[in-house]
Amino acid sequence: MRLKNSTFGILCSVPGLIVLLAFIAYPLAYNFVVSLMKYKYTMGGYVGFSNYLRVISSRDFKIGWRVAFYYSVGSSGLAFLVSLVMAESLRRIKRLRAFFRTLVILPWSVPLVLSGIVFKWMFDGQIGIVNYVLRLLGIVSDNIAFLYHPTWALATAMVGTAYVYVPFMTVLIHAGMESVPAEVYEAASIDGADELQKFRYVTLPLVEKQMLIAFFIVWMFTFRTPDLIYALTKGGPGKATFHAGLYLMRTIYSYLNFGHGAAISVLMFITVALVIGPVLYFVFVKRG
Amino acid sequence: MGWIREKIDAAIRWKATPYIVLIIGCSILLFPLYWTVITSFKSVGEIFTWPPTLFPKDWTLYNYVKVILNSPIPLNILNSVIYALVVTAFVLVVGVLTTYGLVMYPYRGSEKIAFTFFATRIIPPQSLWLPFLIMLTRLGLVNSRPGVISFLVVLVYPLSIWMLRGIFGAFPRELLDAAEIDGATRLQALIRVVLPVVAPGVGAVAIISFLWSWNEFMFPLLCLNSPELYPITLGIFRFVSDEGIQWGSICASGVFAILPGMIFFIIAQRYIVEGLTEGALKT
Repeated sequence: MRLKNSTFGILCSVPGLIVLLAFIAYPLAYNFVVSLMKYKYTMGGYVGFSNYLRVISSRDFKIGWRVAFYYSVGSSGLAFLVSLVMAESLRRIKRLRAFFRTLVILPWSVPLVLSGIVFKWMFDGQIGIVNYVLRLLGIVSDNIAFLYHPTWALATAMVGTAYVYVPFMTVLIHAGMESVPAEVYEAASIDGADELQKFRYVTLPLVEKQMLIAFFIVWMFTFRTPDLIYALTKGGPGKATFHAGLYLMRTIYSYLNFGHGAAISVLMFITVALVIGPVLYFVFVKRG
Repeated sequence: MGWIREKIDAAIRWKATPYIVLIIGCSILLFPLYWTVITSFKSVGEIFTWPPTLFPKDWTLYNYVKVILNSPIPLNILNSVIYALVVTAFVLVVGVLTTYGLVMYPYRGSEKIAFTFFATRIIPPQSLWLPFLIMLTRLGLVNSRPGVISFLVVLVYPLSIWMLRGIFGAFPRELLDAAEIDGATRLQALIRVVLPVVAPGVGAVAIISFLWSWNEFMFPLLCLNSPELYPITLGIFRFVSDEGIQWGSICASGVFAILPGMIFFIIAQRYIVEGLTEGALKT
């Protein structure tokens, strides 16, 4: 008694599909149902889309989404620029490449939350080493209270987050560059292209897909993950770094308003899908 | 303007430039790590001195002793190991079997199923916090190890399946056919022929899954309230309180939190880079 190959394939996939349904599809559906209910401490009745309307019209929603957008675009943009320079440098060296690649990846082993705590201290207004270095170099004359000014606090969060994602992004962009045959660069040199032109006419078009994916993966992570901000500022000063993820957390955890929380969750999913969907389509369907 | 561009080009073209960029870049990238490690060996007094010292004046193990003997940190480390190992083992067993079926024995609709796995990666895990908390409460599993583990599976699962798919896709089909001609059953072929070849890639997926579970902070924070169940990330965070922040303890326990990742990356960075590339870039 021997099963057909395709039947065997189906049997193999069954456990994976069960996990997918039980752990992801069902909770998502359940979450959607809850978002249509009045559910504060205890389950109430069906209220249609009123949770969504309440959430969207609240001030916290606007702040949370605005902060998450600024923060995610800022951190992924900054991480992208740094990663591009690092990856390009990695591409050009012959010796010690594995060594430098290991060094670049190492910071990735730091949990986000620990990064947040360590940055909180390095950027401290009294004993922070960042202030010390800035004063040493004569850039500022007085300590800057990084985490007490709304704009500085958000900028610090962006710098800290960019730091966390540079290793990951560098690896992805570097891998994309590795897939370009060396002959292409040699040909460009023979045609008299200088380094900037090489970057513009060889690297950019050929590694564009990987760069887009790398940028948007990190954008996605930073838009939805509040860990670092939670450790760095808890959303303060005031609500200057009140990330959408913190808004969700507070609604669930402090206010126990599950109906609103579920609506925020769905809105978060929709926001990410609206941004990432077209990108995926553009990268995989139009580009083949 | 032309001569400026030439100057820039000459500077970029200079052989040493990429090395200089990498040395400066890596120094900045690694500084917070260095700072954490170095501070863990400083005395409490020295941690608060101004100007900050780049190097401990007197090396001390005080922070480590304190963290190991007088705090729940060892227990937290044990919890993190349990969580990460169980999640990784679970995801690998299910994932290897699933991708083996999807890739080697395709059936009608297997491409669509593979794409569904891919699509799940855009679901923010954060948007599953709430349903998980409600479901776990109903099942009586909130504030329990299985509760944390179940959510970590969701976190790690989609990307792992996708990376495994890329790794299995690169396996030469002929070897599998040869094994079957030799009379091995399909499951035997998986264990004896396929797995030994794809082991490095599967190892990379295992490492990434492990680290991802190890580093998770937010869901355990929402779901656990007994300190004896806390993973290391939460354990570290307990040293941050309104009375003050115990930097020495944070850095000493932070070193424990960073260690597994460091060891894995140093040992297996090549495979991790390949696995990641496979998982993130290929479709």
